[in-house]
Formats: sequence, C-alpha cells, structure tokens
Amino acid sequence: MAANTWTTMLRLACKDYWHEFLLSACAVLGLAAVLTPLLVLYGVKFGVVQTLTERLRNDPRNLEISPVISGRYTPEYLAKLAAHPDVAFVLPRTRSIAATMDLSAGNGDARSVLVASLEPTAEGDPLLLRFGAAVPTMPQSPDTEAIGVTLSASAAEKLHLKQGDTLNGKVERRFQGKVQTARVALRVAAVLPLAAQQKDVAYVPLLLMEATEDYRDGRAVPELGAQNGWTGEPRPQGERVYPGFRLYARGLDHVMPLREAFAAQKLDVYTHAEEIEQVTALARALNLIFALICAATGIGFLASTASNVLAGIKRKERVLGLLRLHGFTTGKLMLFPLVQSLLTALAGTALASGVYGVAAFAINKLFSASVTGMEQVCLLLPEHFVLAFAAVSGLALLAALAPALRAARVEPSEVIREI
Amino acid sequence: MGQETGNSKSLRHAVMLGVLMSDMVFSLRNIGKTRPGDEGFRLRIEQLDVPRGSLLALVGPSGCGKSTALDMLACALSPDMTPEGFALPHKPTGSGQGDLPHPASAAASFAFSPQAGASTDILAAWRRGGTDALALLRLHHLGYVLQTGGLLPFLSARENIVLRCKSLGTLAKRQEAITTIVDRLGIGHLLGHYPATLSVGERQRVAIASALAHGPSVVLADEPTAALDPGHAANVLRLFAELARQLSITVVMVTHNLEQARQAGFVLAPVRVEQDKGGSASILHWTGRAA
Repeated sequence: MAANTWTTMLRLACKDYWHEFLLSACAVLGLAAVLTPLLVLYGVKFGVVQTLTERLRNDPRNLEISPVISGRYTPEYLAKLAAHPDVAFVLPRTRSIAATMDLSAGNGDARSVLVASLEPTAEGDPLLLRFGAAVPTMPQSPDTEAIGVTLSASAAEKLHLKQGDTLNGKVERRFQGKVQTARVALRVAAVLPLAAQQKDVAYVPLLLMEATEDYRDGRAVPELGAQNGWTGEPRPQGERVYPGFRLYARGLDHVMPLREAFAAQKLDVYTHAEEIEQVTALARALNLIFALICAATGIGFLASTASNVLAGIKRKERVLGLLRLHGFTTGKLMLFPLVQSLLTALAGTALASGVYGVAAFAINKLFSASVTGMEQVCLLLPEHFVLAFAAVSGLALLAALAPALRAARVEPSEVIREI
Repeated sequence: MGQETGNSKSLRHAVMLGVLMSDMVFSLRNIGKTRPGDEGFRLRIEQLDVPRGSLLALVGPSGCGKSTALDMLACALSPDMTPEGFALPHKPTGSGQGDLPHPASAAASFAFSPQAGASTDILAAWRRGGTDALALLRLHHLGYVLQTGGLLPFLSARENIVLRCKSLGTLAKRQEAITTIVDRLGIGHLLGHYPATLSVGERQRVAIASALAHGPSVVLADEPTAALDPGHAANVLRLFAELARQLSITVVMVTHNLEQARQAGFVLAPVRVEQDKGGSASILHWTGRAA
C-alpha cells in the first residue's frame, strides 16, 4: 500500500505540473535563462584553459629540463634521476663542442653538406613519441652497417633527405698535429616536423654521441671500425662523467617541483615553468571568478526557487488540502512540491544544456581561426553536464524543502472550502 | 494506587464504547470546537452516535458549526485541546465568559469504528499528534463530498474516481463496484472530462462516485447539492442515498434542505443554538435515534 501511495503522489505531482503547463514552462524558462549564461561562461573558461593547458602538455619541450651550465653527472646520478617519480625520461648529454657532425648526402653536383648538432635519444624519448618519429637504433655491427638517425625538418630539407635515405657522417679532429677524419654511415630513421625542432639537429643513439666525443678527445672507437678512421688512444678506465642531460618531467605539474628540487641542489636549470605558471595562474583566477559567480547565482537560485515553490504552494493550498483530506500523509504531501521543483530543475537544466550547445557551436565557429585540430574555445565535458544536473537538482530540492514542509502542514478544514 | 491518567481513562472509555456501541460508526461525547472572531462560534457535541449504515443529516442555521462537526468526524480537524486533554472547558456554574452550557457528562470521547468491533480512539490519536495515522484512517475508511465537488482539477473524472483505489492498490478488486456506481450516477460519458469542463451537477455526481469508489465505511458530505437547482439536487441526493444503502455505507451529511433530505431517507440531527453568558453556543446531542 505504501508503495502505491508514493507512486500515486509522484503521478499526481507530474500530472499537476503538466496541467499547469504554462506556469511550469515559465519556471523552466526562468531557470534556463539563469543557467545558460553560466554554462557558456564555464564552457569558455574551461575551453580556453583546457586549450592552453593541452597546448603546453602536448609540446614535450614544455616538460624539458636541462642544466644551464656544464656539470659532472655520473651514470649513477642519472639513474637516480630517471627513477624519480616526477621524471618521465632522462638521457645524458656529451660536451656540446664535441656534439656536432658533418652530414653529407648525394654525389657530384647534387651533394649537400651540413654541420648538424647531435642530440642523444633512446626508446621512450617524449619528443620523438609526441611527433610519432621512429627512434634511431644502433645496428649490431656499426662499423659496417648504417646507424639510425632522426633528422629535424630543416636538416632533412637542406640535405634533401627523407625517411630511409642514407647519408654520411664525418667527424674531424686535430690530433698529434694532424687533421684527422672519421666516417660513419647513417640511415634516416625519421624526419621530425618543423614544430618539433627548428634547428639543424640530428637525434642519434647515445653510443654515437659518446663515440664522437671520444674521437674528438683523441681516443679510438673500435666499435665504429678503425678502417673508418675511428683510431686513437684507448679509452681511459673508470666511470664516464657527462656534462649535462636532457630530462622530461612526467607532467606539467611536475616541472615546478623538479625545478625547485634542482635549485635546492644549487643547480640552475632551463625550464618552461614560467609559461606553465602563467596558464596555471590564469586557470586559478578564472576558477575563483567562476566560483564567485556560481555562489552568487546559487544563492539567487535558492531564494527564487524557494519563493516560487512557496507561492505555488499558497496557490495550490486547496489541492493540497484535498489531498490531505483524501488521506495522503506528511511525507507524500511533501513529495508533491519537491517533485515539481525537481522537474523544473531537470527540464531547466536540459533546456540550458541545449541552448549552451547552440551557443558553444556558434562561439567555436566564430573563433575557429584561433584554434587548431580538436581544440575548442567553448567546451564542456559530459561530467560537467552530470555535475550541472546534480547541483541544480540538489539546490532545487534544498530550496523546496521548507516550503514542502509548509505544504504538508496545510489544514484541510481551512482551505478545502475556498474557491 | 495512583490516579488514573487522562490517556488510560479515555482508552478505557473507548473500549467500553466499543463494546456497548459496536453498531455505532461514530460515538462522540463532550467534544467541542471554538472558532474565534466575528464569524466564530462555539460548538459542543454533547453526544453523537451514528449507527452503522444510517443516513444522517446534520441540520441547523448557517454558521452554527455543522461543517466543523463534519471536519472533526473526518479526523481532519482537531477538537479543542485543554491542559487536561480534550474535555471542554465547562463549568457547571457557567460563571466565566465563553463557558459552555453544562454538559451531561464531563468525560470526552471520540470513537470511530469503521468496522464492527474495531474501534479507534480518535482523541488519543490527536493527543499523540498522529495526523498521519488519521490520514491513513481517512484513506481507508472515509469518503468526503464537498459543496463544490472537491475534485482535483488536474485529473480527469475517471482518475478522480479511482484515485483512492489506486493509492490503496484495490483498483482491480473494486472495478466492478466502480462500474456499478458510475452507471447508477449516469456519468459514464463524462469519465474522460476534466472537472473544469463539467457542469456543477456533473461535478457533484463525479464527486459522489469518487467518495464511494474505494468502498469506505462512511461518506461525509458537506451540502453536496447546495449548488444545484432543486430538480437536480433532489435527483442527485436520491441517487446518493440509494447507492449508500446498496453499498451499506454510512452517510453523515450537512444540509439546509430538510425536506429534500427527508425525502431521500436521511434522518435529521439538529444542531441547536442556545444563548449563554458568552453569547451563542451550538449544541449537538444525537443519540442515534430520532426523537
């Protein structure tokens, strides 16, 4: 029986809501009129911040950290860095003065020559991953087989090379009063787009970087073949020490903590923390502004809903009195205005969401020139709509609670004879 | 032994009444209600016994409290409360302003027996603040017809009629009886209409059907035909009385049309108005048998 009376009251509340279609529609429109600008405002705020954040996040260079001046970094130190939870990827760098190579391709008149900077790379390099570039590898016999190299767009353009092409690498040194040259065969593993690197850079396996540095230091690199000119003194025993490293933070939020950690070690590093901080500060400021607007709107919505429900109850006193006379209990009578308030909240939010959709489409169309790909100036995620429905419904029920109690206390004998 | 409490007194009284007056649907003693203000009144129900299956018409001048008595019978209006309970502020000497005439008995009681042998102490329920319990009692056992119908405007005639049955989950069981009631009242063609599109006479017939549909023990009717022309009024009242008799439903009605009520088979219970130091007081004393 209890379930029957609950469902009956639910149906009665819906029937009355539909019966007063015009008044209900006005309430729905009123709510939508308040909620739509709020959704659009939040959509723009979220869209802009999201776009800026995504742009920062999508460019691994914003996650890159490297020392300002040369230091002495042992493999053990670099291994500890790699194991740090905020670090996604780290590779040592050799001395920059030794990290260049003369690259040449073609023959005769078509021969192109370029001095490129060398940059170490390995599996998991975020820069190469981001742009879908293949990671160059060291062959089993680098003295006879071509070593992989990933070229920047400008380097590939100047050398007229594309993926799979071969080229020659030449390293020069002055040793024992003579100018000496070592050669290495290379194969283009991938070409990075211009967005990834604007300079003439060749990304090579760390072993080739180390070989180049060793050769320039007058040492032999037997792995690359004495027949190719990689001769000299034997390498010294002991642990290798690197002057620098290229590190990528795990995310934008990890850049600043890493920078602070390096600063605590008296190590100045290059980061994009400032740009990240600017976007983060913008997001914080917009969040605060939006929270204030939301709070003001929420209070206004509570007040207007409570007064609307109260007015509705006053208007429907006779109906409520009749329902009480029929035998509906306090809880069921409270359900009557609560359900109607909830219906207004749901329909109003649905309408506001629809109007928001149209507004968002227009805004994104209007600013389409300022964004790329999947970026949107005005954007709300499904969870934002779920949150909007939940928040508005919750507020609507809260606002209707006190008037609903009043509805349940209507004295039938005082109202049923009113016309 | 200590003194007997007001609760146990009234409970004992209700049980006693239940035993002695098992054929009474309502049995009230010394119940009062005062309405303050210019149009106010003081109503005292010294005794009201309503036999099961009877058709009773409360008659009296306008403003004497007949509708208030009906609302109290409907358990929708609480009798006046005093620190001692619900007994009226009576004094045999009648010295103070607002005092009522000397009652036959000081003990207040209000027993409602929707079924023989199953009595509910309404005063105790009010004392407990059990308005929800009283609402459920109404839902199960009472029907109410107002002067203007009392139909819900957002429901069709059919939905108004079956509303209580749906709430009670007895629609399937009551379907045949409802069809009979609808046919007898001749409102079959009105079932899809909303109250606003019905004439006053049609609305009253739908209201009567609505009050009878769930098979209550009692139907309370507040001037159910007052808004109708005399021809229609007599016809509707006759149908109402016939259906009530056929369905063994007790009817307590308020009316100003004594002749019409008599013709329909109602017994008249007068509410008399007397003057005392506090002004006029309405008194209802009905033993269940016409004098």
